Amino acid sequence: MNDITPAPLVLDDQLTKQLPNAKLIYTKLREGVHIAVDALEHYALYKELENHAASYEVLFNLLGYELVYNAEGFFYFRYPDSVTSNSMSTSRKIALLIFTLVDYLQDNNFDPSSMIQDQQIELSLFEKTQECFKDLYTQADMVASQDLTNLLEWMSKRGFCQIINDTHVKFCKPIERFLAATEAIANQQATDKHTAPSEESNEQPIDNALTESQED
Amino acid sequence: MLYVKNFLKYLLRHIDLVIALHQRFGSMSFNTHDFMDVARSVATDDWEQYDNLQPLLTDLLQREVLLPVPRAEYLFDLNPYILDMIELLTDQEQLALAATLKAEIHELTRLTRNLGQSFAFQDSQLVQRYISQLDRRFRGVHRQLQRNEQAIMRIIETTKNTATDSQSLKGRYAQALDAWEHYIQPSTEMLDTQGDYEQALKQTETLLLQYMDDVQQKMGCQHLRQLQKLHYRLLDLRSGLRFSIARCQRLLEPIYRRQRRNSILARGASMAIAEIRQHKFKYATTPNQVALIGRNRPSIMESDHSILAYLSQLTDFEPPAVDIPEVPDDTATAQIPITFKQVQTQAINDAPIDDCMTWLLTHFPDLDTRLALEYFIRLTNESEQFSIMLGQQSQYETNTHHIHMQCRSLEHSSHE
Repeated sequence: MNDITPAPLVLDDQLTKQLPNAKLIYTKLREGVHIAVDALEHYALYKELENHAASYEVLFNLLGYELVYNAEGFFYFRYPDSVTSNSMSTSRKIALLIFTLVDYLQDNNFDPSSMIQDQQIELSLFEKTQECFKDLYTQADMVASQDLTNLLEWMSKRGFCQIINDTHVKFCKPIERFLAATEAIANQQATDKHTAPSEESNEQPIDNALTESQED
Repeated sequence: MLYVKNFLKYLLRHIDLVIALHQRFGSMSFNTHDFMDVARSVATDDWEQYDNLQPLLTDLLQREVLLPVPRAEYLFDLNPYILDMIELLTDQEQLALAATLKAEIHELTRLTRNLGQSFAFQDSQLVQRYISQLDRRFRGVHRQLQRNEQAIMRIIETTKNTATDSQSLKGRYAQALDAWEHYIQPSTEMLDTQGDYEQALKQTETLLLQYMDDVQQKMGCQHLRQLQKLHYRLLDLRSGLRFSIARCQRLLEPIYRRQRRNSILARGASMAIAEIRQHKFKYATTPNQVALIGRNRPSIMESDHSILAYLSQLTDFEPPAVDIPEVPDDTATAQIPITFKQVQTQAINDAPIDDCMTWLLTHFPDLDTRLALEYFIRLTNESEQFSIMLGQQSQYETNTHHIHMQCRSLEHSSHE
């Protein structure tokens, strides 16, 4: 790997011709952005990744990253030690947001899966959810509505959602990771009941539960 | 007549409630609690007299708009006559459940057996009767299938178009789920080769075919045409049934899946929330499932240039050439390939052959060496028609190779 000398400009030309978005894809993925088929600004990147998926996968593998493709239609990076306490806490906040949103939608007669997967959700609905689960949001340091907006903006930067006109949120395909996690909890508890009552739930260290199998 | 007039007036006064009950429960029973729910949702101003709705229920029961379910406390049905009327007027298509279809299909088998008995007695009138009954039944099941499809379309429409606030989420999906669980799923199982529909229909078909044979011998051609028509209808029904249920399944599946997903999601979410409430957000483990990248990883490469070089290699990359032999273009060299069958037939004609390899090379000079050897081996080792005699070592020459091997001669084997 170290034998490669800095690339001459000629290569750059060829690169821009055939893989015009290669550099952007690499940068975005490294920043933890999810490149999804239904995010307008990422569509070109997605197409390029999809067309050269095998090659890109090998390349990124050589660089030490795992390019994960989810059949719902999105790519993201995974590599050891990528999680920091900061990103973990954000992930937990998103998870809380999804759990409470699903619960709120279900309780108020909306159709959770179709709302989250296909429709634009009014920002006010998020605020109502926040109000409804105030105790939990307080524990998660998300009392103000600004905190909520910040979280949504963070998510939109990482390709989880799009904020439309500052009034609506449209979740993109990568939110499937969180939905799958929610489903996994239901399934997990179902299997737990069948096997044995578990007592370990309190003992797990926070970062320990990053079991990849449940994600995809 | 006065009673009729009064009753109709009474019914008209409560028609909203009756229709709401019909829409929600159809011909199914409901309990006092369900009744109260529906009644409250359609309550109008002139109902103030029934402040707790109990008297209204008693009243409806006295007038026999509702009927108590026998031997069940607090369960009621809508009067079937009223149900019939509403369904006739609105042309409501009832979904015939899998069990109903099953009963009808078994009825077909039963009628076919009866038909067989009347053939045995050579009773022409009975035969005629059963044939026409069967014919009607076949058409009936067919019509039922069409109605089912329409009903399923209607269910899908109502499920999709019901406004979110007028009915609960469960209520909206209830019909679709019912249709899935009581029609699609059991029907698919019964359509399986070991399933009930398929077995019954197959049995009917065997019987019909058997009668067709018998009829020709016993009763002449009089009923043959009718039986053929029945057989055609049966085949039509078999394929129709399969297609219809597959179509319904395709239509309903997305809704069924969505409902299933909704319930799993809701269960997961409420379990997770309960866990967070129990252990506090800080210590809860349920939100830990998704790992997101937190830090920009320092690149292994010295600079972006190295990565660009890699990517450029990627653009240059071509899959290794695969050598696929091409069909020669010119027709002159294109020949019909010689098959082993040809060789074998020729060998049988020419046997006994003193030297098999020489024979092969003289008669089929165009054969490629590899193929010639293969045919040689098949002739000498695998053909039962020949017995083999081994001779001396000898030298053979093909277009491309010299071959040194033992000479073999072919003779017709003794049992040929």
